[in-house]
Amino acid sequence: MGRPHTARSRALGVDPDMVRAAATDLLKALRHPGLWMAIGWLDVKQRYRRSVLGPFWITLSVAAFVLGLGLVYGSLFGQPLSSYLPYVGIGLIGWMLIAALINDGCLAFTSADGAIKQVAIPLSVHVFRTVWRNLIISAHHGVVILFLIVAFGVPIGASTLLVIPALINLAIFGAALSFGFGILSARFRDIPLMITNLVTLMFFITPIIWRAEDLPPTRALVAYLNPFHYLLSTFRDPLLGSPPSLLYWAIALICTLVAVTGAFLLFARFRARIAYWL
Amino acid sequence: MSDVFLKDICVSFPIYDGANRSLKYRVLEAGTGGRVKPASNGRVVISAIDHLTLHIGHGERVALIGHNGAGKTTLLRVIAGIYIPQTGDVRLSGSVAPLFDTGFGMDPDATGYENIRLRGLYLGMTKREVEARLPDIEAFAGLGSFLSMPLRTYSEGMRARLAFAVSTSIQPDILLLDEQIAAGDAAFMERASRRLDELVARAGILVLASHSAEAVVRFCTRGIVMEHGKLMFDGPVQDALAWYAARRAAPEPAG
Repeated sequence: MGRPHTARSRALGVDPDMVRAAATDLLKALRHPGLWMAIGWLDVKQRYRRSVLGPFWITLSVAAFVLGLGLVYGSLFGQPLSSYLPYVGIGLIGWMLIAALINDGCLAFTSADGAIKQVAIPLSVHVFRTVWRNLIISAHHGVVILFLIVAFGVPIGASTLLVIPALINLAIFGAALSFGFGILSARFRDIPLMITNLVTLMFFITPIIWRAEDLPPTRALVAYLNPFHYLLSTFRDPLLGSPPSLLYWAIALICTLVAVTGAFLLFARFRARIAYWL
Repeated sequence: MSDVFLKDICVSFPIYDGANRSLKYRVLEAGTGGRVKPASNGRVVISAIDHLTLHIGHGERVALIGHNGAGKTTLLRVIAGIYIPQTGDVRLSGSVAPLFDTGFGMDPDATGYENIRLRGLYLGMTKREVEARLPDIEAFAGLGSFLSMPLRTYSEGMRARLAFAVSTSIQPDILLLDEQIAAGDAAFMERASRRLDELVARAGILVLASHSAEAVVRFCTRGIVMEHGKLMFDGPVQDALAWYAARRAAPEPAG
């Protein structure tokens, strides 16, 4: 059970020891999912203890939100409700997951400062816990998606199954952002506040309540330069019965790859410092 | 065989807030035993451990002695792997269990059982190990049917009993204890100290940070006096306490 943790003098950049230590941390956390799954699950339970409807408040609030947005913006944009409501509903649910992963991810380390200073568990555990918690909450939205699909007769086919890899990709992307923003937020406490504002802005400039095709060509870049557009589309399209786009998938996967690489390097570089910043 | 080897380690904490750095510098310098100095780049840094080298062999019972801010807790956290030192090497063999704040990570809305499982997982047990130790934990906590109730219905003392029961159900090679291992009523205190004795007896190495001469003498054989993050005295525990007492009676000028 040897466990040398070697330290070094501060140098800019990442050395192989740091990479090894970060990878060990990640693998340890992944190999023992019991802890982060249990805490993540408790987080969800804690929120709904002693309430009668429990977690279905999440479902209800999302259903109300979808209905309200759908009715108002559908008529504003002159869209038929039968296609607009599923579009906006499924897009919104996908977006809520992305937004929660980012906003919550900022607090992954700072909110776990008690545990971090008391026990030497892998730091990745705290990130996986927030990701897991948000996946559980998101699963409650599945009821709304199911309802939309049935009520509006969305065609179900083999390509619908693409939602599963899309969701996995989304979770990995979200985990990477959680690592990145979690580390930055531990060091610079303004980051979470800044990110919350940015995420709100992104909601309006990402095609969620409007369609990318409806933008005038001079403004089309707003949608097409936005990585969230691709991640969200790969999740939304299969549930709307739209055929998959290879280009969108390629871009979505590249986004995840970039985020994972960046987050891993940041984690490797600053893993040893996180405890000091809390 | 358990073994702890620290070679020339340095730990310092950056202080990021504070526009009034010079004021903070003075207050901290006066109020604690730590050294506060502005780093060369203008950032304020508290040096908590200063070039410390220490070897603890299997079977040793070590007391860390020193006043607040001398670096005792930081040193325990370095051994636990929580703080990775800026310079120097930490080499350990054996499993480590820090027992600092027995109350951390308890969820007031979860039941006693849920908290036992949660804490067990935090301490590195698998789900199965937690289940295996559950009867022992139940028996020691002595809370009966309260274990199915939410933690917020517990009194302070009951909470402490539960936390203590779980935290001491582990069997580490290297046991790290900090100051107040608090527990509830007198009857429980006696059982608690017996359980602590057993835990210590099972561990290959004990490191205890404490102000209390009583606890130090009861558990430890070797005493280390720390001051400003430096190792000042290392020897038999009685000598260390005597050295520390003499030192406090006639403090050298600060510096």
